[in-house]
Amino acid sequence: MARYIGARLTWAAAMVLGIAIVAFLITHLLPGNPVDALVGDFPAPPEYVSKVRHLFGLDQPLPVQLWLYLVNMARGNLGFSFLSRQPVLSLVLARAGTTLLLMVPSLILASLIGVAMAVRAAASHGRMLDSALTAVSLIGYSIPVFWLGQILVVIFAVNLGWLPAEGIRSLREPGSGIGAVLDFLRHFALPAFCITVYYLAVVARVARSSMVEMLHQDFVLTARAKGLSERAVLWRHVLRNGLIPVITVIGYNFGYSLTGAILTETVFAWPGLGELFVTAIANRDYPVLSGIFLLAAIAVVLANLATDLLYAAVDPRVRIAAGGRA
Amino acid sequence: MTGAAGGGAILEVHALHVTYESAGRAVHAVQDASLSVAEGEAVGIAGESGCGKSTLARVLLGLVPAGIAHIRNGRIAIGGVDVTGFAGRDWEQVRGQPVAIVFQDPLSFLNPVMRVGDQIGEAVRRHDSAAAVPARSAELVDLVRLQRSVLRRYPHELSGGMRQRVMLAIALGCRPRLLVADEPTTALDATTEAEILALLRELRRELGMAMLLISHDLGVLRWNCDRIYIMYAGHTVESGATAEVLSRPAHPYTRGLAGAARLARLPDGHFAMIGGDVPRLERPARLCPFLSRCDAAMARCREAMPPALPAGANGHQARCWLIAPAHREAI
Amino acid sequence: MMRRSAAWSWLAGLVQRPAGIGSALFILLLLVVALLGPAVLPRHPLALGDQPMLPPGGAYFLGTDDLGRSVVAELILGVRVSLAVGIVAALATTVVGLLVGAIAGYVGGLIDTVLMRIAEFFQVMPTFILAVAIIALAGPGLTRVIAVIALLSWPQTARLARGEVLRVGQLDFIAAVRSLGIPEWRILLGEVIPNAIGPVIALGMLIVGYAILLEASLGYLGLSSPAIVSWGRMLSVGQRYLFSAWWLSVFPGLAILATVLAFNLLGDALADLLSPRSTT
Repeated sequence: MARYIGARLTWAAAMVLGIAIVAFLITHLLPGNPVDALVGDFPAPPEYVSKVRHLFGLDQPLPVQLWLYLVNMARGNLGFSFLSRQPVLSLVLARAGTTLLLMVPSLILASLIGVAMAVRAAASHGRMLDSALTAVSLIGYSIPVFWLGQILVVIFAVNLGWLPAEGIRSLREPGSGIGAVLDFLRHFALPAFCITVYYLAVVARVARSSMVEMLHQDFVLTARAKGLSERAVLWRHVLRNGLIPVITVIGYNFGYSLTGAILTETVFAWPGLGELFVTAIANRDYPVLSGIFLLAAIAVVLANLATDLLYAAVDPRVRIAAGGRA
Repeated sequence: MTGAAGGGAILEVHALHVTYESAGRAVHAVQDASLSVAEGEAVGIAGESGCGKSTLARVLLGLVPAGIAHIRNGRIAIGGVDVTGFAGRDWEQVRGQPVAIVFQDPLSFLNPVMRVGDQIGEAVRRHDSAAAVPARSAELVDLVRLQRSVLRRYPHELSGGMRQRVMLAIALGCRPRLLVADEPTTALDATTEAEILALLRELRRELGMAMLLISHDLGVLRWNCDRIYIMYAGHTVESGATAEVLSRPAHPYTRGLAGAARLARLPDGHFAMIGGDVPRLERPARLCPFLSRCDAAMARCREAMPPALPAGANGHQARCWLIAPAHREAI
Repeated sequence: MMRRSAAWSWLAGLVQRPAGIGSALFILLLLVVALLGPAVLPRHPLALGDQPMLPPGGAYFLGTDDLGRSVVAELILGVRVSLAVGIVAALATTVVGLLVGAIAGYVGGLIDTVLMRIAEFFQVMPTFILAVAIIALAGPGLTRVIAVIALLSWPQTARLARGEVLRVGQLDFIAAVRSLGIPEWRILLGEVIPNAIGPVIALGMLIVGYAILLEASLGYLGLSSPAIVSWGRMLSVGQRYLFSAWWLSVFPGLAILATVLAFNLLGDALADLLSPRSTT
């Protein structure tokens, strides 16, 4: 067990180092010079350009720049936004909470719905529910999540006028107390629904196959033979085993989840990482782009690590030989 | 072919016919099986792999896949209650109490992510009460001669023999009047097998429960069963007191089986002595299922299926024309 | 002869799967539209019209956009971009992934370990964010988009190909071929890969869908060249007029959904058909 954790930690550390190098390379090797972006399209005097280059250490050899980048990164310095002159780390962290506020409840909701549907589909041998699960998964995988958001806006905000189309709270009368919570929920509803459908695609596919597989395991016969009700067999024995691959898939797909969140935020002007990201794209704000990539990638590594550890906790067998990936 | 033992029968199976049907294909796993187990009695079922004995064991508890397995004919009564038409929740009044079951491979039959204590506790909660769980669980692990610390362990942390004891504890936790043991020692090594069998004998003595022991190993059955049924291709072909059947087998199949058991048993559970193949089970047999492999077959065997005929003392019966009075007179 | 009869039985198997054959026909239709579509349009699809923001139903069938261009015409032009990006990117991904996976699985040892570690590294990286960052910094362009998609999605194919190659490599007939003294690289190319390729092709179909979605997402974020009409770019424009011109969003999105769904269905049908376990 200790060896397993140690191996996963070492690998995670190696991944973070590799990701930092990639983040460095995309800003320093790609065409499109950061200095151009910094000094603007207006033809700058050569001495100004060289001053800027010196200021940002761009006149140093590449390995030296990389070393400086890594040292700064270790100190939590990811550079400053060209646009707002704010430190990248604090910009990203300030937005991360808002993004998680959208992501986490939706992930939980998608998991609950997907698993509940899968258990019932497995139990009823029902072709109806089973087909529904397959359909949800297929459509969820095929639909552009931002387009789903647009359709929701057209229907529920524009035509029916039931829910706000964008933002996280009303600008004029946010209210207070319960009123503020309700106001938040009204803004939350559409993007959350949108992204839940997106997550459900992943959860439904895995949950369905793993629940069906577990239902045919021998230990299910033992549970039935004790005289347990079919409901107890399903929710206590089948679910507990069938959840392991579901947890694994959610954890390993943190990057996928984040992508969905960023695109959904863009449609609904949800003030999270997505908005920061899109603004950075529009302004070619290099430090912010590479900072978002770096932190997102580290978050993915941490999510994978957490999944590995959780997996070890949930499944007492811990199959180290499988390399951790199910 | 009802049993010799009188008194209350905990289990009675009459002319049972069970099929598995899927995608237009059918397998007649059990075709004509009859047996009975009296309260407190130990009864064995012997047969090669694929003879339908495991299907028979599972169908008693409704543990065959719904929608695929069908009872086509015959009757099962448990404690005097006809369970033949049971479906869904009906089975909950049979499972565990009065009938519990122990399977062949305890590792795959135990839930891998649940502590042993919780798996035993579930049986106790279902058949006693939630309050009884701690005391009764401790009592059960004592009963199967395990340390109480196993309650906190997971199945993969235990040895094969320990796991089978856990399976037994789960079954006993239901307070069964009949324990069905489906090849309970096949997955174990010889020493552990002997220990588990000794434990089963002691438990039966202490608890006075009946047992239906299913095995391909006549040696196992010989020392653990009062009576024995020989099963072949879905048919119960011979039955009687264990010693009587095994020392004076009447059916040619039993003779081959008993001879083979004395000589050698192949690792896969097949017997070396009998030539030919087990008949295919895609359609039910209309004649004696052993006909194609029998070296004593005669004209009459190709005309009709023999009924159960008396073959000796203490209710010894066999389904074979060789022991029919007419045939004896003809000799 | 073996090959031809195998291909024939694939086709026969596909016919038995209505979703598979339906999606295959739909994709064929899209290909025809992509090749012939612009030629049969009444006028140049990008010609600006004098009637912007017309709702569907009139002379323009699905309406016009903010510059007066016909939505139908734009959709037809968009097929080209989506199919080109999707198919070429999936092809590149499959070739790279198949080669890497086959070498890793066939050679084994240290090379295998290193290649699979690299694959795992690429799989962990948040693909979409990296793709957006690269395109945002390097500038838009279909070739770049295709290259980025292939660069970031080969690991999945490589892992699958490696598993298949390992499986096939253990089959008896490979040992028999080897005993004939045929060089290893010819065994790999001539015997192992042809027998391992089925599931990889099925995955390739799913990658087409994924690539189309990714290209559309880039377009939606404004990361496509303004000179090219793509469905993603149409949705980007649609976002601006959500409150006034719903048709600018609804139709391009439906086109993406239908196309990606078709490739996913075809991929599932092929996976079902070509998986080594389904030998019915």
